[in-house]
Amino acid sequence: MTLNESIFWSLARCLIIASMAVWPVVMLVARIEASPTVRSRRLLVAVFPFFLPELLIGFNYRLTATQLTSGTSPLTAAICTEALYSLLMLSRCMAVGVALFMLLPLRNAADESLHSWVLLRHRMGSATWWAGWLRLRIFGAWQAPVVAWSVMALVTFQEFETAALMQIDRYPISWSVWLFDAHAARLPLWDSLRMMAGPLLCELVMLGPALYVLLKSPVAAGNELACDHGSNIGSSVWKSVQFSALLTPGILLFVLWPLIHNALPIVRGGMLMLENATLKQSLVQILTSTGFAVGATVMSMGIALRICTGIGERHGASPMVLDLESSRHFPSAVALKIAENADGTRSVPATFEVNQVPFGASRRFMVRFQGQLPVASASPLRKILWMSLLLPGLLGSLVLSLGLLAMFQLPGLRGLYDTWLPMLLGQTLAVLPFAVAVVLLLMRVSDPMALHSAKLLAVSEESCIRRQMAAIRWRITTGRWLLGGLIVAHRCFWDVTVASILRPVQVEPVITRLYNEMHYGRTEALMSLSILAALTPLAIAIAAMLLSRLAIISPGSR
Amino acid sequence: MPSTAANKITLAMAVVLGIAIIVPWLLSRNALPVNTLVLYCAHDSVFADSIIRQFEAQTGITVQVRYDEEANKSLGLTNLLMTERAQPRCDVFWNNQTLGTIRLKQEGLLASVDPAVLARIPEQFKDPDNQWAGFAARLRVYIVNTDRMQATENDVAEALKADSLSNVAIAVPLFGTTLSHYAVLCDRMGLDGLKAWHTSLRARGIREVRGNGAVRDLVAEGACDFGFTDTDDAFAAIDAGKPVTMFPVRLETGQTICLPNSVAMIRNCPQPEAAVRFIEFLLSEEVELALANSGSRQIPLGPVDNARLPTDVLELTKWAADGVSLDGAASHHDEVLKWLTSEYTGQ
Repeated sequence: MTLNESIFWSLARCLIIASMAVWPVVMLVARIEASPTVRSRRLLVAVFPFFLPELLIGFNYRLTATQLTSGTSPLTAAICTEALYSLLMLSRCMAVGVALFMLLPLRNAADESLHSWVLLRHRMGSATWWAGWLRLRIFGAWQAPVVAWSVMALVTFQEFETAALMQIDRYPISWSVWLFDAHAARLPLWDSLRMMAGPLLCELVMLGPALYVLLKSPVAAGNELACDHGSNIGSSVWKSVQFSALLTPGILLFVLWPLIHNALPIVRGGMLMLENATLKQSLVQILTSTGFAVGATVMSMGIALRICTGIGERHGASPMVLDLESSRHFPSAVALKIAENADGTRSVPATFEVNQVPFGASRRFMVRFQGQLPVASASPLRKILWMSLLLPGLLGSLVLSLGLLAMFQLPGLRGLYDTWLPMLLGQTLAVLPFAVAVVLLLMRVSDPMALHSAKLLAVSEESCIRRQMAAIRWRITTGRWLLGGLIVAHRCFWDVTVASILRPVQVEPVITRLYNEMHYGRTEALMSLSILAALTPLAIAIAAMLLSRLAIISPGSR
Repeated sequence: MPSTAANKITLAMAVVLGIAIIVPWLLSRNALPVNTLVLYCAHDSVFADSIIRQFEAQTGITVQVRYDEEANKSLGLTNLLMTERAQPRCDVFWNNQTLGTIRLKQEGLLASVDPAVLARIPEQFKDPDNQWAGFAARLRVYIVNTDRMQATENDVAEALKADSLSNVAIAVPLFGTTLSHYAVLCDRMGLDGLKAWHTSLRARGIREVRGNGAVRDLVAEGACDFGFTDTDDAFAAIDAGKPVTMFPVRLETGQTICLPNSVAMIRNCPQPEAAVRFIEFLLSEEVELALANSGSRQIPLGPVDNARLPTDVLELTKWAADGVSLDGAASHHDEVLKWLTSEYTGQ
């Protein structure tokens, strides 16, 4: 199989899976939002598959894949392996999609805006009208699905660990595994980069719709869900059945089956760990991984913020944002804004607005809208320069790590080779595209009105109100960013390729140890260590969140 | 972005970068260079670790180990050593086979050591230029599930002639000992013969998985009847109480494929004296016996007290005595790898 064939196969799979995942995600999110009392629990169950390391999934299902294909024809075996892998990817994609939908803001163009635009059908040229209609769609009801589809396709396309571990007779076919194999004979770096051109192009094309929507849409008008439709469709029993049916594959594949299969090894491994006094060594390795993950997260999110501001993304409670908030009650104004002026750099002619806008939008708001919206974005060249920082990460961990390895062999940098820097840099660059996505989302969901209100109330004379407002302020600022950081850190923590190639000789991250335990078939040690490895950073993150919350809402702080 | 927030972010990034550079530098200043040895070890860490700690206890030399991670096969320690050739950080390379070590010698990356250090190892298992020495070997074997088929060497040989091999497993031969196995076959039957053999296996539907550990698991769990793996992997399944046994893979001449560990000092390494002490230690009877008595049951190549060997290993010693010479295989290594890369990636 050639690289092109493997890319084609991977591409077809990821497009099908991402497209298949959109509808279930919409339904799941609607159901999660339907009941505020059980929202958190439902959300946790729905997004859980995303947090289960690919390594463990691959390990759990490599035997299942072989058992499925045992004694069958090669064609049946290939179909079975591909189907199992696709099912795992679909469940994972749905978890990613649900998480994205929960983070994405209210559609920026409401249905009323679209209706207004439809009323203008005969007053303008066909091409202009259709272009506006498409924009209203993309920044309206299609906004969250478009972004989610893009990211889900990318996540599926980039996947490596599960495919590599499950692979039997070259199935599931994956370009990332192909690339790994191609390096068996120690390729020159230039060849590695040349091979990455195709996959990189595919990734950029996949990311295109999400970047377009996130960069071009006006700032969020609130934190209401993008997909609240569907929640009122059908009876509640039917909706519950539907919800359960959609969640079942994920729970079964990512929770129940691995737990049933590994319950005894987990217990035995835990006991062995205590008996053999390897607990201390394991904790050191876990803390090492955590330290690198935290460092890389700080770096990547810092750079991501710079990128987002460098390409003109707006952040915080600026007057412009507040005015957009005010204007959300005037859908036709928003329609005009989005349809004709999506990049926020030009103004809409006031006369046109006043004369054409149905529903009687007030002149006062329209003037404010028009007068304060224009925000100068970065030049295209600057945008490209900032965006080019994402390329190393999009090359994938293998090529990126090999590139950095070669770079740190250069005379000027050789002195830094055996420090923590190469691995830190590798993890930072590898996770940067993901960090940019997280930062973009966090900036999009920041609700300036709520923040402003919280700030005003935080200076109240009543200490009780001050504390409550400080807590709210923490939740919509620091809390969210810490949560975003936790997601990025989770990805760094479990990245095995960068760690195995670039780690200094003095330290051993836990992920490389886990791989070796898996290789030796020491299921007990693997499972117990995995659980410890998953829980320790989580406990640290929870402690950090509690401490930061305490610091903000303590009586002395303002 | 407000300037205060930007400053905070820049400060946080600077702190992280500073820690990443300064702390390791401070740690390396405090460590006594003469007492620290950097070892690249391809042998399984669960078995090698106790040996290394024993060396530390005996000599007071701290060993910093870089193990060959399963996840990193496409780079591997051999390739990493080649990448680092301009300024090696590694002092000693403990390889779990010999072909990669011979490749490093051909690349001029190894240093000669005093012949007295290698004296315990028989001539056929060490380099004539004293640049590496073999010790503690393992064998290529068939791992057989005793619940699924009759477990004799003849049964396995017959099963390999069957029209369908859909219940037989082998690792993708691009890496590890399966690659060495292929190099040995290439030496015996030529590249065309090897290609024909490989094509025949694939045409009859042999299950190709990623790694000998995966082969072991498939056979041990009953998903396949038998498969190609190494003795250490087979013993892992036997020790776990799985219904498996093993037989040596034999060439047409009846010879077995015995793959010793090997040890070598890196040319221009930072700690040559400590490196020599470690090599001397590793090639001692004490270490060969420890490895023979470990879970991996490595076969001693130097003279040892047989009374101290487990019965499993005594049996293996007989098979290892039929081992084929690996000199020819080493010369075919690159040729085989090039063909396999082309076969599997179309490059």
